[in-house]
Amino acid sequence: VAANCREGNHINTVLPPSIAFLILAVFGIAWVIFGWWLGRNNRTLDDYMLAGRNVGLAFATATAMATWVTSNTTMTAPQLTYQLGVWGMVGYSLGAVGLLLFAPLAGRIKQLLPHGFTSGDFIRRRYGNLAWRVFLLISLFYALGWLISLGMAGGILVNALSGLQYHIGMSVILLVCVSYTLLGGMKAVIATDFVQTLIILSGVVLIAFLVIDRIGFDTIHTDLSNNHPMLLNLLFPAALMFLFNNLLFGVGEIFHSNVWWSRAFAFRDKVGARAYLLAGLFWLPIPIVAGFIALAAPSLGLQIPSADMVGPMVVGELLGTTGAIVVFVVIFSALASSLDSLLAATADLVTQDIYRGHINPGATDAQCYKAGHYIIIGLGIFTWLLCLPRFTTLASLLYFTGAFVASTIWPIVFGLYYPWVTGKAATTAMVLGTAIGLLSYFVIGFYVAALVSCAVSLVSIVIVSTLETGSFDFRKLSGGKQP
Amino acid sequence: MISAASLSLLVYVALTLTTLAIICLAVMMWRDWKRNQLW
Repeated sequence: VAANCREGNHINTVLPPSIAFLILAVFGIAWVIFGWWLGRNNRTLDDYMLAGRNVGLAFATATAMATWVTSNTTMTAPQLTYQLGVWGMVGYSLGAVGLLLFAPLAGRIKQLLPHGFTSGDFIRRRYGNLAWRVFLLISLFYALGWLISLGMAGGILVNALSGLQYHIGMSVILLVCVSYTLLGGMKAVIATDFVQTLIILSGVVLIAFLVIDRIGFDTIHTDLSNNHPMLLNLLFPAALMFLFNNLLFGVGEIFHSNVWWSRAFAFRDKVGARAYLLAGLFWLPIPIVAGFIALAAPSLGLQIPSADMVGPMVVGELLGTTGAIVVFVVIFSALASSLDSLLAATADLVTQDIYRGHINPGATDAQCYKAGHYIIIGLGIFTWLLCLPRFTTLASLLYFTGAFVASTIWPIVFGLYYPWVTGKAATTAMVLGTAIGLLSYFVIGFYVAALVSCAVSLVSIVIVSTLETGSFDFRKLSGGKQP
Repeated sequence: MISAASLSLLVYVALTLTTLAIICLAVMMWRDWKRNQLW
């Protein structure tokens, strides 16, 4: 383990800063050139925002999967395994449920809104302006929270792994992602996601095989039984509680966010459902493979300064600089694959629902195409400015967005299938679910926020719809693109 | 408490599935490319 630290925040880093910077530079330049090459034939708003609405199964599956593999999957899965044991990695892998459940919705979305652009489009047409604006607040708050958290995670991870200054790592990662998303639009995001998926999967498989080869299951199990028996315990209450809340949070994130809706619009007819199903199945084992690495820490006698560094430290100790390079590339790919998707989808939401929906209602596709470019740059600068001071409290915003996103699950699901749900019911469900979910977050704890929000939202939507039954005509959803 | 055999089974199954995912993605890509259905 190399000891390279400029800021003094981490005594043990796994990679010299010069190598880290070289990797960032080489991969960064490669992604930007690739993005420019992919976007060179973009002509229309559909090309730029939705990759021409004709994405095939391979790209579709890989982009859904890569976007859901964030730095959290590659860093937090080992951390949770180190803290919560076997349930930590198995519980984290249940994040795949969100992708699996979204599969039928993706098919339905494409069928109902063949010309749709964003999740906001659906809420506006289905529930009216009030519900649309409430949904936009929730959606933008979540998207910006996730963007800031990813931007900061980039700087913090690069600093923790290599000692390279936080501001440099954060700025380079943001600059690279903004540049190739800007140049290539959704096509660049999807194609880079495919390559990044292969890098992430190959990296975690390689590392796990090497851990098994160098240490072996018997040694790992014996050391854990002697020193950390709780990690092998299958009745670990804290782990079970985490698992349940995490599952609902993940479902809420995927169901409402334009990151997933824009993909449903972008995929070719009949590809969406299959792609999300495959992505969920392919994603399922990744947290187990990545998390397992942490179980080797006791066998190596490692002193882990903070639990979130356990994965890279095990690899650095076992495999030296080569292993550290693999970890760094995997984490960089995981970060970039989520950051680019979020940038593109949030820019789409701002372009369609804020610019065309509120600022310039008569905007043509050409004007939106141009505005979309400025909005990506604006989002990049906005994120960079908020990440600059490294207020870690900002990143923790993401934790209580669970209350916000879980309140949208039922308005989305019911709205897609049942004509009797009204705009008033959906608005009440989102407002009450969020408010009471947030209250429970502060009064009880983080682990109940999504659960309470989801339950309150369900009860509200059913009660209000019973009092005032609607009869929505789903054909109204398939109209043109003007808000 | 999970046994060493169960732990190794869990991890090997996960590793096999992840390896299969890599192969499936590569095959799907080749098939889409051959049929000109990438985009």
